[in-house]
Amino acid sequence: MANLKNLSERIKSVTSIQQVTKAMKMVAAAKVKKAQEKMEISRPYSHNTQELICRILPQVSPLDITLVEKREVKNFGLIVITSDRGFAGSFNSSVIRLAEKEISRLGKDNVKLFCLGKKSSEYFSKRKYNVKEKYFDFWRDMSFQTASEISQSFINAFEAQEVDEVHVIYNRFKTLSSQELVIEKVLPVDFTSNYNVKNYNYDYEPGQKQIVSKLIPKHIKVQMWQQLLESYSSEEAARMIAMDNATENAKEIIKDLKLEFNKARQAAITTEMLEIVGGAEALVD
Amino acid sequence: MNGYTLEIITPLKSYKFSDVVHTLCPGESGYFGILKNHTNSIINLKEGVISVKTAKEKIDFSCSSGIVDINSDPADDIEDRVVVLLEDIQEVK
Repeated sequence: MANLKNLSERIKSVTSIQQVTKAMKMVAAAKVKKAQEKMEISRPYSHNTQELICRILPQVSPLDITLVEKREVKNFGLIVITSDRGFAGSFNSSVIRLAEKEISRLGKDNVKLFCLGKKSSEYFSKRKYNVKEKYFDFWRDMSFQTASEISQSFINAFEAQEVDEVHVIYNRFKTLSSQELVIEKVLPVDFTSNYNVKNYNYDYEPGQKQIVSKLIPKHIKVQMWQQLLESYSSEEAARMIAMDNATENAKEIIKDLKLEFNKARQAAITTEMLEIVGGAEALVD
Repeated sequence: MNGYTLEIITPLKSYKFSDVVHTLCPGESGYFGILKNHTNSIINLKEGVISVKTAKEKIDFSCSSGIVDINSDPADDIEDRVVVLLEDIQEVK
């Protein structure tokens, strides 16, 4: 009987886990949709900013704009975007693995890290990497302001020549079932392949240099905003898949446990009946 | 159509107006107005209020700093539209 009680408790506990994973899957699906909508809304701003920069930048000397200035690379800035929470399959570990690979390629002392999300912040801080900035606990109330603040920190580091090049590692959302791990160059920004050579006659106020100098940080900020949203969508999609798998596994476990429970119950009934029959026969004798 | 197309674009929301008669914008050296056939210009904006007047209504927005891209000159064969790029905007009721 102890075995039966034990099995019944295990079935109950796995069933409640299954309910939690099912709920988490549904919450994650809703969050992916919301993040996708935000990403869609931010696209025209990103497109128009980039188009405007590509129109003006060929008319300005690159030496006048710090954020496009290419210099000898001694120190790298690496932005690592992970999440605050787990339960998302290999979402965080794949980002951290690629970041470590990059750091060992570039040299641990030459890389300054900007860790976004608790997972990467804790991982790299514990291992005594050169973590310049840490940002976490912002995902739930993430706004464009958050992306602006983060961008401003690595823009400042680049302008102060603390880093000569900045790259970002994050998961790009492809479909609900697949994310692409990417590494992209953020600074110095390079628009040369997209330059609009058609030169219309424009009046500039105050001047081309001042306008481009104002536009480029805006472009970097909206890129950061989109990368955060991509990563957030990927995280929730990965969580959705992980929770779906967990729900399926729980279903399998429940099926096996129920079978075991029924077998044990049947065995107990058979034993009881044999005892009764045995007792009755003893009375006849 | 007597007016022009105006798009106000932020990372979080966008507004599109057709048939705009006049737009008043906060430039860095003071407020300026945009009428149809304005010279092609790219102008920095500072924080302030943008007033949009269409054939039907007048709407005011409080805005952050930004940039306005005016493509309205009939001398050039480019799309007749004005684009305002801002980080944040709120409609003033």
